[in-house]
Amino acid sequence: MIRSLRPYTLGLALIGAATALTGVDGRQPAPLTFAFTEIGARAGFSAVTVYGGMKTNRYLLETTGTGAAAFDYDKDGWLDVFVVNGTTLEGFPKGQEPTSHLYRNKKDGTFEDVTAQAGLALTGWGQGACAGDYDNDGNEDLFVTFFGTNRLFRNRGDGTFDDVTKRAGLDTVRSRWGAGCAFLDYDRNGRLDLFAANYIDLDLASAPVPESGLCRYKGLPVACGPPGLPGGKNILYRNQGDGTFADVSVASGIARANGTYALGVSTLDFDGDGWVDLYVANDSNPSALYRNNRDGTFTDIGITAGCAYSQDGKPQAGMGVAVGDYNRDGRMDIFKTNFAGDTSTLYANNGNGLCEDRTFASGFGRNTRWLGWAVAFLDLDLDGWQDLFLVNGHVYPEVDQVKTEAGYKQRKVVYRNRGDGRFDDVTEQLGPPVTVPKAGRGAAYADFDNDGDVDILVTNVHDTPELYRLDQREARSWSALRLVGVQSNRSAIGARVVLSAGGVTQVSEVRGGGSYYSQNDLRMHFGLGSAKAIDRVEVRWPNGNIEVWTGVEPNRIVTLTEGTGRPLPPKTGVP
Amino acid sequence: MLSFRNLCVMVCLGLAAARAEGQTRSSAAAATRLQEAHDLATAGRLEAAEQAVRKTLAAEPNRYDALVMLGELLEARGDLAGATTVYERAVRVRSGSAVAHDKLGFVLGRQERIPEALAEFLRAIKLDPTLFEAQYHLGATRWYTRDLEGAVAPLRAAVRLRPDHPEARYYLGATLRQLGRSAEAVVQLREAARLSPSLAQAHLQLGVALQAVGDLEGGVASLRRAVALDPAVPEAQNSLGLALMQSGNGAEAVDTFQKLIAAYPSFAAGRLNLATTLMHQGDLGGAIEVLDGITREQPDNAEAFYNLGVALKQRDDFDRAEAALRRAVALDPSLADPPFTLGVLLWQTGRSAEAEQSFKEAIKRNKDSAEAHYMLGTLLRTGGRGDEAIAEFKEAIRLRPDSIEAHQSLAQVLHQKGDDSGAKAARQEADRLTRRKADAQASAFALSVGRQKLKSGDQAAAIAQFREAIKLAPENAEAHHALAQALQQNGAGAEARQHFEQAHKLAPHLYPHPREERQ
Repeated sequence: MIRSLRPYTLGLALIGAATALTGVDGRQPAPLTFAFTEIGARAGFSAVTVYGGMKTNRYLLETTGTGAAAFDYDKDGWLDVFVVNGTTLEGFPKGQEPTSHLYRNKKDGTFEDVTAQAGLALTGWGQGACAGDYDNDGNEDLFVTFFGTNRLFRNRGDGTFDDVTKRAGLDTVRSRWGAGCAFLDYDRNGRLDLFAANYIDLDLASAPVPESGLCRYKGLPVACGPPGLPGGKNILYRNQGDGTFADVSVASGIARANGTYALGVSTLDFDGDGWVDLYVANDSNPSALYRNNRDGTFTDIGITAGCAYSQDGKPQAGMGVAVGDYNRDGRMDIFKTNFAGDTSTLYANNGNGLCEDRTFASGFGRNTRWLGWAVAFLDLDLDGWQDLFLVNGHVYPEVDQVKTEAGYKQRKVVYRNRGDGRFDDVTEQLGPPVTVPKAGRGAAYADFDNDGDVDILVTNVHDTPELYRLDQREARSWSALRLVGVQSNRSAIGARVVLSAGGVTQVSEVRGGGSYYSQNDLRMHFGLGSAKAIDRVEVRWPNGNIEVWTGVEPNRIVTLTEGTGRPLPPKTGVP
Repeated sequence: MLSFRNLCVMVCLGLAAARAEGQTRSSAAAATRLQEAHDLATAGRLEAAEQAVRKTLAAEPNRYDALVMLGELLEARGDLAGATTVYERAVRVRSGSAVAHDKLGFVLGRQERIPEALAEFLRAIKLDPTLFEAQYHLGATRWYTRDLEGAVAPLRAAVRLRPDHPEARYYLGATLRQLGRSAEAVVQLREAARLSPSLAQAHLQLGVALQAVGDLEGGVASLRRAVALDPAVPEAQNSLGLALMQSGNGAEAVDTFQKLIAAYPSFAAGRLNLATTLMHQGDLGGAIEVLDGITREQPDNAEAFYNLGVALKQRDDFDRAEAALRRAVALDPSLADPPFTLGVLLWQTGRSAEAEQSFKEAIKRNKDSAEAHYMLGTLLRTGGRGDEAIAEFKEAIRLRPDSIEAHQSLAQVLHQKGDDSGAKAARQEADRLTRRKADAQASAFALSVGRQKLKSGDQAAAIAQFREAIKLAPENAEAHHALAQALQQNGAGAEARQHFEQAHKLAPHLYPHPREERQ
């Protein structure tokens, strides 16, 4: 599909700001060549995300909000989006419960709500969603996590979905608090397995309540936990190839993590050995980096690798996860959002199996007011450097009762990568809509308008979703690659791409999960700056096979199918 | 503390004591005159009483009991120098008199001639360790001169000699509290307040001590009583405000501080604490406004600049925060917090070398700052200076053995240096401390849920939750007490008693022995 670059129109975005802006080292940040327009309502995202009490929350269950999955369910080349929904403690009369929604991309900037036809009007305490073609039939399937029982929906390929939870062996005996999830092929047998994080083992009948006085935030009684509550155990399901999954959590070592209270999840190949690893942001506990041991097991090396705590050795309230090569050294780095009063965390992958905390050195030490959820690395200005877009919102609605710096609804935070290892906070420079406060939670980062840059669908508590359309002010080259596995899993989750253009080499992956409770675009997007041609694209497929393409045209979405490139001998390590 | 009523009591007691020491050969006339003097003093006619005593001394210049009484009468009318001279004569006349030495010591103390006063009290005690007044005066004077450790023994002796003396209990309690022995302090101060319910200072000290042992509700109640008894004591209102803040009642804390400031504008702590309370509540703008005002009026107030720096930092206003913190550092070289927090700010804004210097300055000012050693260690570790980092982490652990992050960070750097067994030991300790902390939190929750269940009438579930609380944290005195009460209601008397005893053993200041437990 060829799309030409659309010229940017100003719309509501402001250029510059009233106050003088300086970068982290006193320099004036460069003028921005990109802008956002929020088109959620216009695009048809009209369903409110209902989630717990509006003014007070009795349990932490009412605070986590929901995620979204960007995936092309109807295979028309345009990403659709599934938005998870929740409920309240009081509940609703039968037939009036809020439901999740599937929105079909109509290719003209709008979406159509096809929930009912698709059979995806799910009710209950929905949490997150992830997508992947687990049965390799060419149709992306959907897994939705719940406080209750997670559910797997097989895409029939005709616009409808089949709830195969029980049939697939994913029905759980007891209620659990599912959180972020990801499809991944951890044993490299060509079939997508499934990872589901679990947050708290919450029993509402015996959970402490705000009136106990034990749980306070700025002096206000608030929902209790997670510390003090029993933690959930993460689950790994192995795809048995016959439409069923086996729970291998214990056998694989996944259940033996150092921490608990898992929220955001992303796959990544941390050590560059071609076997997919997992990073899990834990709340109030050391985060987990599950290293794939290549024998069907994982080891949580988060602590020993230095990827679990803050720089001063403390557990953080981790929420969302972004994976990307921010410094273009060919290795996957990790960025995590955290609670208010804390900074986000940037772990640079040093290539020796260790994380180096570069939070402060990179300029992230100056923002502590915001409470972060969804996040992703994405090239906002197509200059070839990965930027960051964070979604914020406070956990406790009660915070609006006091005069805090950042209320329940909060602005986004946008960081532009300077290319020298540091980032500038350009939020103020961008102005509205990113500075408009919202109670944000999940976000699916995807190129919804197929113009080569990544847009963002944000879920908000007690509000409708927002769609931030990203537009460029300057003409810059880009490449979008859709990978299709043949021997490898069809979704190509776990594939690694090295793209060289104009003397610059960039590395990325096809990842399961990501952000917070969400599934990002499985297609890979690269900003190429002023490069006129792509010199080389190398793909390491999830099964380890390597192929190379030349002559890939820029400024278009290109499909690369396994087996159609020039094969290279397999290798391990970073390029 | 010295009221007129007390003085008359002292005179009478003094006379009785002097007589008890055996003025065996007094003339009948002298004895009669002294009795008259005593009656006159009791009736408040001190001048006439003095004349009667002087007449006795004119006839018998070395009459011991007359000298003691004259001394007391001179003290009563403020002639402390005169009283001193008279007591000195009494001591010369009867050097073996503990009472005389004590009296002399007391009047010397009133003239701030402390070393001499202490010496006299010690002489009195040497002569008669059972003389309550001497023990009491020695203890109180040492408390007054901040020799807290030295005050404990004589005050304990005084309390043993007169268990119902509220002031002795008060001073002992205050001393223990100031020594950080709050649990013991609570026992003494509770008794002082019971013996003398209108003793405002006892309620004030008790309130602060209860806060320190974690009984916030009790602390607030005591402090409210202190304020009600004596509204003219700004310290009581200040302490009440702090207790309210700590117990989560931020709005009332703010109100209390605002009233305190309005009534006592020169009470420095009031405005600072108001600002701290506002910060606690997240009202950084309000806190900054108050602190800006203080620093404008008092440009040398290091603490105000420090608090301002902290508030600005929390607001992510790093430039202004840095300026305020640097000012605080320069203004008071004895304060370790300003260079420490400045170090954190510098570290957060990517200036590691400067941060290192700042942490070192904090350590220079307070070598026992576990946090400063820890943060310095963190910087050294991230800077690749492993050996130095290890030393700092070990020092941090020595100062604060339950620091989870110090053990964790030590483990990390030992692992990086190839000391796997050292790393494993440090990590295991970090894990143990983490589990203990998590279990303590879970125990508190289980206790709270148990109480909820009890309220809703589900006794079986309540007992299960209390048992769970104890299983998670066997040292949770409250849980033992709650379980004991529930078991007792359920007819399980023997097991209940065990848990009452355990609660008392763990927290004697909160839970009386089961024998004394009022059911």
